[in-house]
Amino acid sequence: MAFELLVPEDEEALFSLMEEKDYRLLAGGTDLYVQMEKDLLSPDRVIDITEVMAEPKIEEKKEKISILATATFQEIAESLLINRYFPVLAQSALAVGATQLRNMATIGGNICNASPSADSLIALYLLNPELVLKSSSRERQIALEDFITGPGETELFRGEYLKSLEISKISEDFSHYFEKVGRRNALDISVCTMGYILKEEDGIIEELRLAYGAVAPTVIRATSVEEYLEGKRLNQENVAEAKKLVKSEISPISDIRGSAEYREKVAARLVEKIGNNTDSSQ
Amino acid sequence: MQLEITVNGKHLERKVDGDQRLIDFLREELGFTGVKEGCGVGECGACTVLIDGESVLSCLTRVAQVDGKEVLTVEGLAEGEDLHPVQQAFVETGGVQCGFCTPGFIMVAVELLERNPDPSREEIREWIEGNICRCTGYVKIVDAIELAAERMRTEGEKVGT
Repeated sequence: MAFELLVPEDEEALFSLMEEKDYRLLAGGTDLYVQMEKDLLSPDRVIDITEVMAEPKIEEKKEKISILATATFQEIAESLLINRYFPVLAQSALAVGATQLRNMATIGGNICNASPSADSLIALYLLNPELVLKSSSRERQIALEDFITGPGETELFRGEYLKSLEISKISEDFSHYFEKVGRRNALDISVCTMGYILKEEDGIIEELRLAYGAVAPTVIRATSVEEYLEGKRLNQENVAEAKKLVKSEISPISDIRGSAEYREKVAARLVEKIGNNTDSSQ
Repeated sequence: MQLEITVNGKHLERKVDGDQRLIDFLREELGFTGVKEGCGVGECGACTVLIDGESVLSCLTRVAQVDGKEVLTVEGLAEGEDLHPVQQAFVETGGVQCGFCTPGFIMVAVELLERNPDPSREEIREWIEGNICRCTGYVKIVDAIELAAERMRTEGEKVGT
């Protein structure tokens, strides 16, 4: 189907193009074009936002790291700043698609598509970024968890675009872990994804942040598991209890990639990975 | 729209529909039929081309997005009668069987060797994981890329354009 593809060169041009017609914003196109190919979306106008963004895409700003929405997953996976401060984000970026997809797909696209199985969202739910949204009249910030409201649903208003993410640096004492369970290593949408960051002191969990993907309408933080395990040791009894708690946090569905029962088993089983791989980033 | 683009080293100016798929533009307007369409939805890697040196899927790219950029397809690799070392290695090792996936593998391999002249077999396997081959079982393809890497290191040849 024919549509109008426009590539504005600055923000002013972008905002004026967003004033009319049924439009969709384009970054890498790896999801938008597939949805259009399958007739799930048929916008009259597609606006490529990549030329609007100024370099550098990933920048250190005192206590924060700022990432432009158009940063590709290859750029994130290879970034020294991301590997230093947020290894889990680099690991999840590397799990996206395959080489060509990572050269194209962007972190902003992953956020705005708001898929419950988006690989990078696991890391982002652990890191709590503030999203910077801009329209012709204002700039606002919103926390990621408030921005994503359901599968494919966000708080992005008409006339607004996602410009960047600001992530506060976290203690370097955290160990980072990301795991994707799917049927194929490359280019697959996951059956279940899990990631955590963990700080331990003498075998006792000081702080745990645990996120799951593809087992609920959005990526989720398993807060009851986090609260239960903090201050405890990872012994058999505690892990068994944590597995039960995971099942109460998730609400998986059956689809072509796996049944709800299978997803529940996988999600519970992944609890065993906590603490077993304390430095998968190395 | 008026498109300005460099394809396989040749500068072109064309009037095009901005929403045309890059794969269709390359195959049908320019005749570069080495760019293959497998799945059309970014899952097989057969349509891989290099844009400004990076491998991308030409089935998920529209021409307006490549305005002012440089595109390289498998047709742009050889110099006259001399195949690119990656192409030569695919021929010699049996990395080509039916040949349909081959251009995509070659382009992604050219990108890899430009960035990492001495990849391990594991690194090669990871880099090509977005390309599907139903004939070879991949072993000969990895052999080909390994052989090309070795020759390019020893001969000090430059990859790509």
